[in-house]
Amino acid sequence: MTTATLSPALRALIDERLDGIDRVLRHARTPRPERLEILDSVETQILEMLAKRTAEEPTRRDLLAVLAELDPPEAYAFGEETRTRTPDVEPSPQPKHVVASAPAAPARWSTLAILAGSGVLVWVLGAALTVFAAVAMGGDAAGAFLYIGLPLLVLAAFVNTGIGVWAMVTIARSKGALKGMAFAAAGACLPLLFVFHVVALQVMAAMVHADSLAFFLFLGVPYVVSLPLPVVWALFERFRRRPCPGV
Amino acid sequence: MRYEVAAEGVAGFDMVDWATQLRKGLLEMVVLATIAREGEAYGYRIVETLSRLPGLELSESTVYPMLSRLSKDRLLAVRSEPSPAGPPRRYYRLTPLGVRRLGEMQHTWKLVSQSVAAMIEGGAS
Repeated sequence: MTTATLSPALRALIDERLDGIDRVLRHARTPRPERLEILDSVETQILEMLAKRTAEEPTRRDLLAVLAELDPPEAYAFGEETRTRTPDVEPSPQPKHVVASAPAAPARWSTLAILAGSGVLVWVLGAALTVFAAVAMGGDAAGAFLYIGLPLLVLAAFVNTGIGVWAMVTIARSKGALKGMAFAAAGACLPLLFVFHVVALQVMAAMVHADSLAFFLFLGVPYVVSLPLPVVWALFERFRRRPCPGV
Repeated sequence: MRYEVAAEGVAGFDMVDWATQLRKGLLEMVVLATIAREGEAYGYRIVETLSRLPGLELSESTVYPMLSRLSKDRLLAVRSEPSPAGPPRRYYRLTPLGVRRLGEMQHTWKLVSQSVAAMIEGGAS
């Protein structure tokens, strides 16, 4: 069996495992040549174990079984500390609430998430400026201005939502290597939420002939309430990740 | 959220940790000895051999970094050969420096193991 005979899905699973090991080795500051040597050896081992397991084209189940037999990526954080497949001595009872694990690599901020989070602020600022500019202009000029500005805002909201969703997927797939889910989620939800809010209020305003001041005041409430949410969420994430002292 | 930490006994002793430390001291010697016995061996083959040894049962996350370090220290020479199962296999063999290091380790190990064995057997009587 060679890597060429593997389906892309199986190849992706192997790459995911190798990437995990690579991240741990990087965090342990293992030099690049050694990292590559270790990763090559692990890849060879996976493929040889697969070849031993089945003479035919391996299935996803075969590969998962092989991967389950291997040490998890975190085991490589210990360097040459000895890891055994099965302990030969009866393990001492471990304290239930203390988990001795490899030091996890510190998560880094996702660029996409930061982009999505910043996009919310830019979008809100842009929306506010558009509305205020239109109000300041008044008359037909305001109508023409909004005719161009509002579709652009809606388009920007969809783009920001796309970036936010992309960031969320990337962070979720990184298995803890990336952080910033709060900003990603904010980027994915808020602009679109505002757009729907505006549309709903437009419909309501048209139906009940609400005056424009009440309309804008009502529109402002969700903005004010929603804006601190990413910050609150980010703070929550930060404290959630902080290890308990003494543990 | 409340965390509980089990209180450690005054005479707390972790048998697994002790065995791990013991194996750690022997790791370099057993890897060199495995390769020396086979003349030349590739990574997975070495892992297979060492994972089956009772009391050692070393796994790949220990062996591969060790092989890499021994190569860097010039105790092992490496050559690549195409493999029917994926990327080229890395074959390791001992360099003259590796042979000398293994000899010194084995000498020391024999002395220590004989003394410990005599101590344990003598202590029982």
